Amino acid sequence: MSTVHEILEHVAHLLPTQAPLDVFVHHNTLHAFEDLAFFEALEDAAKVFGARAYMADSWYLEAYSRGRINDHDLMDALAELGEFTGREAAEWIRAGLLALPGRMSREQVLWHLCEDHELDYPYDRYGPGKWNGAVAHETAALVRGEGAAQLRASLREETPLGWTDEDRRIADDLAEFLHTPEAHPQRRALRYLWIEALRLSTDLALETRRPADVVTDEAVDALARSLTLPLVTKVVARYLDRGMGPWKMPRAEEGFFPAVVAYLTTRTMLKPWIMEGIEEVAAEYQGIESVVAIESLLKKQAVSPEQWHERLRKETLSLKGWAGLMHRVEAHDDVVEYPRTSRSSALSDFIAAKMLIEMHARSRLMSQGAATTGAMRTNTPVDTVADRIYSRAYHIFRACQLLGVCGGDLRTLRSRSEATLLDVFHRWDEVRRGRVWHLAFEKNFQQRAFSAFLGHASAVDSARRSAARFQVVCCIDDREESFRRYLEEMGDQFETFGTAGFFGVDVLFQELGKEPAPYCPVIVTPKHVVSEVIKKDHRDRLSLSQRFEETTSTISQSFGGVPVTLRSSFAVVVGGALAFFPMILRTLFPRLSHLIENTFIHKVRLEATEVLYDSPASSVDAAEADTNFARYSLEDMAERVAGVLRAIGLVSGFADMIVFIGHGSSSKNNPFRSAYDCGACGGRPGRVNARVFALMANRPEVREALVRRGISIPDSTVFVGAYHDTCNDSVVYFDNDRLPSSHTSLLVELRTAVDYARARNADERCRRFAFATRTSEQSSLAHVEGRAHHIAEPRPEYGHATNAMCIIGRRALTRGLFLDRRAFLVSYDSSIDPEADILVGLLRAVIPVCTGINLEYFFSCLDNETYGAGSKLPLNITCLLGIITGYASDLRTGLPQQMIEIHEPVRLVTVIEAPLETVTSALQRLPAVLNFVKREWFVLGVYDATTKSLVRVQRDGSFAPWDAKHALLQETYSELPILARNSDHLAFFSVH
Amino acid sequence: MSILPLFVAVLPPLIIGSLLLALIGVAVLQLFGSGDREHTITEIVKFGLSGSCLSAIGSGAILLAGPDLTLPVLDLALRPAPGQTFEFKLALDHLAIPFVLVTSLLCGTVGAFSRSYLHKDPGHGRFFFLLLLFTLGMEVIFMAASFEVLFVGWELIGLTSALLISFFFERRSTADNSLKAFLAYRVSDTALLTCSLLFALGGAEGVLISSHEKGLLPEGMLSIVIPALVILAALPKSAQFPFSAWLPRAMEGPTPSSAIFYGGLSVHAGFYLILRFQHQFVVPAFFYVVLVVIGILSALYGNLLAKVQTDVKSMLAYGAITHVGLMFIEVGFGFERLAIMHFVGHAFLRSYQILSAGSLVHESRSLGVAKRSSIFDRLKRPALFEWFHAVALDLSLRDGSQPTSMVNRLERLSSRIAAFEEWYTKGVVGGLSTATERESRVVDSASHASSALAKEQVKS
Repeated sequence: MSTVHEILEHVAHLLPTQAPLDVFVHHNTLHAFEDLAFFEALEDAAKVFGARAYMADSWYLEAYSRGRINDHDLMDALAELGEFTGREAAEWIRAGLLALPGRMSREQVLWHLCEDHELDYPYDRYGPGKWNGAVAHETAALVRGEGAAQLRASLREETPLGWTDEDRRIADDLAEFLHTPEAHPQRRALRYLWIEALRLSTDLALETRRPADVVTDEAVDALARSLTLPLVTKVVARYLDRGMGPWKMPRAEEGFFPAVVAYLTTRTMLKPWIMEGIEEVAAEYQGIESVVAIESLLKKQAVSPEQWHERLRKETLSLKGWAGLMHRVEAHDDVVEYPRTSRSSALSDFIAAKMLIEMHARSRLMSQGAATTGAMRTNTPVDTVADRIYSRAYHIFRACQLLGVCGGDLRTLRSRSEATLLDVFHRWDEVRRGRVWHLAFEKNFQQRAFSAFLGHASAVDSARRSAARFQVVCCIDDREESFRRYLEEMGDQFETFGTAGFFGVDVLFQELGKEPAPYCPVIVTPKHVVSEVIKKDHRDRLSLSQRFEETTSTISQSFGGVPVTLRSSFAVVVGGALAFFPMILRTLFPRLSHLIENTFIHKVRLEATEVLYDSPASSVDAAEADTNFARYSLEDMAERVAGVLRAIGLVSGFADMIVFIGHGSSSKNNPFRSAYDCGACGGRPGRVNARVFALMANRPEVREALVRRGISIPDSTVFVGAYHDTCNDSVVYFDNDRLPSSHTSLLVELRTAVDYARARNADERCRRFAFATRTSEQSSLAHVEGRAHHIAEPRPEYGHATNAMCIIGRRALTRGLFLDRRAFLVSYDSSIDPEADILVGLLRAVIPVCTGINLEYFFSCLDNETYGAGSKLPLNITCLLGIITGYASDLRTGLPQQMIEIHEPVRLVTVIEAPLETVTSALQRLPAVLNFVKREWFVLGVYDATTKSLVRVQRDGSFAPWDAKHALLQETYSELPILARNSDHLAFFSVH
Repeated sequence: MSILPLFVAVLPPLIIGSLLLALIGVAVLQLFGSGDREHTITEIVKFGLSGSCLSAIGSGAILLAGPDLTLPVLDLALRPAPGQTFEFKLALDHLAIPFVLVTSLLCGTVGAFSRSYLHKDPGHGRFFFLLLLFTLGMEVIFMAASFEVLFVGWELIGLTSALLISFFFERRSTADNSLKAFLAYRVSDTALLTCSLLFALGGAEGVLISSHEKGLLPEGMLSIVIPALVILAALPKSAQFPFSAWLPRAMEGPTPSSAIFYGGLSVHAGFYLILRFQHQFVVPAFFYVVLVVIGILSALYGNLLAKVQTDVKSMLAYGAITHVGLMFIEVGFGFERLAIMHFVGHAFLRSYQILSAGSLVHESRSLGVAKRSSIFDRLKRPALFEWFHAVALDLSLRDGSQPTSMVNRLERLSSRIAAFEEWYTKGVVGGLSTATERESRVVDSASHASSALAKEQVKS
């Protein structure tokens, strides 16, 4: 038996690890289940969290009817899951999956049959199939006089449950039609089939009787929980509040549980109904550690020690968002800054307080007795036995038509005791169906993704490399795929690369007027500091812009101070109506708002500031003195520059201008803004990283140090730092004043090309946006600029919603392949990496980041209420760090519905372009990654450019050649006409 | 100058007319349309709201330019029964025009806001229908020339408010909170309806807009009861003490509707009723005293509870309660113009704050969240602070608790009805039915389970 403390430690692994929303780092929602194979994990997690294991049947059916899933995929999936026991059985399963009706009552089924004329016309949703042939065959037999006796017998047989009037009428009709079977073959055959299906369904019902639902006092628990929800969430929010309410929670520094007990014992005579009398109960827990309190609460409720684990898990997961945040308080200092004095953990404090409050509520409810029984009754409609029989009969009826199985056949099938064929109608539950459907859904994508890559890469001459004049290095982000594609369409003078968007610059960045924050992947702890300062000769201009910003914020502050003061009331009376102008500006003229802010704040700031990053010459500033962080030394710089250049395979053939473009996203009124920023920069915009990288790489001393490392960059090469805003598609360039005059014309040329690319990029994005007017690229660009500033836009951009693939290798092999903004593109050149050192480094960083993004979208999409944040529309910000739904709810984690609505839940299809030996040796050094792929949390293929073959990693870790079943790749001269017409996901194709 | 009379005749009715047209359009589309109606609906709404907005601005200009006159908007003489007439009359005067203007501008802006905000939401059409209905209700309140007509608008905003709180009806809590608001509204509705009946009873005319001198209240007891009822009608509608509990819980709907109801307009309806009433009638002095007292209590209450709030929407709700309280005080002291200015400023500011509440995580400065400091933090006796904190928290949780007492009674009634139904279906119908053996066995096991449950409940 384990102690409460140990149990809670264990349960805590299940909790979401989301940080406060000002930093959003994507991670695998089911990280606690990573030891299991993927589908097992899905199904286990569904049980633990009460979530859906797969999408709904109707969702997959819709995908099937679009052709997104086809019969090949279904058969492949059945085979892979071991459900394939023969051709015939597979056919039955397919029909059973396709013909599945929604949940229906007996009346609904009969209504469909009689009023929708489904007994007169066959079910031909998926084409006529074999039904008509089967009917003709049966009719011919009846005319010949065969089978009629059997049919008559069927009509005479009494069904165990008795027939409704409708059934009787159907049987009477059938008896009529029997006299002239050739006159109404369809109507006769359908009625015969229905009668048989109904009988079969009744038999199956008797075979699998559901156990009667056990009613426990869970209803009381649920009611107590819902009544105390506002209370529990309010006290925990008070504790975690970063400054929304002006009053601090008293005694918060003593720990959460003592503070709550102190509050509960305070006599005010004003406690809400459900909490009356809690003062005495809570008084017993004064000065008691929360772990001890939990133990005594469990004992009081007569929970036996064996059930503690189960019970505490339920208690914790019923408010998993808040519990997760309380757990985070332990390990991180980014939530609240209370000193930890109590010995109990914050999580156990939370659970103890929650259990105490809920227990009291329960006893209050019990003492009220009959008064509340009404509220405890469930409201969910219960389907009766008859409803189940009829809806299953309807299911069989439709499936048989797809299969071309007539009434007589079904009758013989029933007697032939070939029950396994019928499993799909009564043994298959939603999870089993979902597993097949989902695997088929993913197989389809994997097929297309692999064959597109193979088709394109094998046609490319990988040795060819022309001298480019511009080399552009972007983040690996899927959103940069289209941007890079359009740059490359300008011709061979452009070459692009992808690498993690912090460009090796792992810093603590102190932005002007803000607190310093780490700008690097979350797993890295920065040791260096970079600060933004005002250039000496720009103080006046910037201070003007700063004063503008400050004034506006002071004005809004003096209006808005919610606890009303004399000053704020005066401000409201005199000037409150002025709020109308920003409201109009940001709702009706968002682009104007963008232009104003750009001109008066961003532009000024860009020109008037510089960054301090190097030591020790300029170490006059005070920031360095009182921190433990250092500036970069020359060696640090050379190491970072060399590391990045090697990783992307750029060690020779340098162009005259090399541009490093960081990215981030700006949107207004969007609590999830950080989720759109650069993940490699720790959920922050990668502005400073690109800027500092270019500054470092341009220094002659660093270049010299690079030569010692075997990379010699010609003097004619200049690095430029830039920043791409993926929401409004603007690109800014840093430190233009340091550019040598020989290169200014080059920069002008670059700007022209980038302006073209970002306008095209905006236009490609706009195909997803219903309100965009796409008359020209410029109007699309204007649309996204406005969109980013619109305060009423729940979808400022779609973020990673299209992510599905990751390609690690030389860009030359995928250049010209239209990937529909769905692929993370990581540049890697295996020819300079014989020892696989670079690959190991890449995989260690790239795989967790990309699968983290991919799986977070996957699960938020799978069950948006449980794993995601639900609809964005009623969201409410709490504690300045998270969101709740409406007035009181659990803290919402994951992604909101508006972010995932166009997402396809597929696991990341990854391709590494390298010799097989290199990949094998890299994977051996990375057991975590290897296990992750073996457990199928992502799909990994390896492409060898010399043999032009693609292999796939199997479940046991071996490699199997991938068979290109339909490796046909569409080719086109331009993607533009296709993009103009479509708003859905597109097939991949080659552009020449 | 010859064209002015034409404007005077046409513009004011258009405020209502364009809204009505759009409302009918959306209703027809919702009922009979098929396929993707989103675009058409937003176009219709755009037409209705901007039409109403422009005509309101036009009428406002005429009225402010001219002398103190009253513009007729609508005058329908309805004959519900022979010998009875009901005058449905709407009019505009100097007092009403700021309210009508703010309503039109705010509803117009919120309509534009919702176009993209509600995009792709399954309840899109429903939302815009309710938004139009609400706008209409608001305009009717502000232009109502009699208590009866005002009551029509009063009911419209009560209904739309309740329906929009439970807009996301998949979640049970929205229905609970909607019920809470609805119950408060019922109190208010009853008071208002009684009020207009009493006017008729007292033989006086409940005329709310007229260019004549101030009207007189009926004599006797009624001269005390009617003002008291007017206050009682205004308090729940404006979430004033002691009826303020529903307001923070009402923030369950989509953000734009919260902004316009609980920041901008609906929360000021009670205030307008008070303002209009004392503007039009000679009222006894106690009326003003009560207003001031209630205003002070509400302002203190809102201000105290705001100190312990943790989510932005509750915070803004208590802010609204406080400010409307201040407006009551202003009217109580007779500062009519100040109160109107206060209303205009507050309506715009609060709506904007609610609309842009999502930016708070990243731009916490822009909404002006106060720095943590207060007298209580500096108190020498922390125990006293602790007590105040507990009081504020308890009061706020009281506001947050479900409307149990009322619900319990309803629940008890419904469970009795359910028990009767069960007895009827099983005992009476069940005995007559020709259920086969198997079916009755199924029913038996079900009834066994339910009776076991019943026994358990009796025990507990």
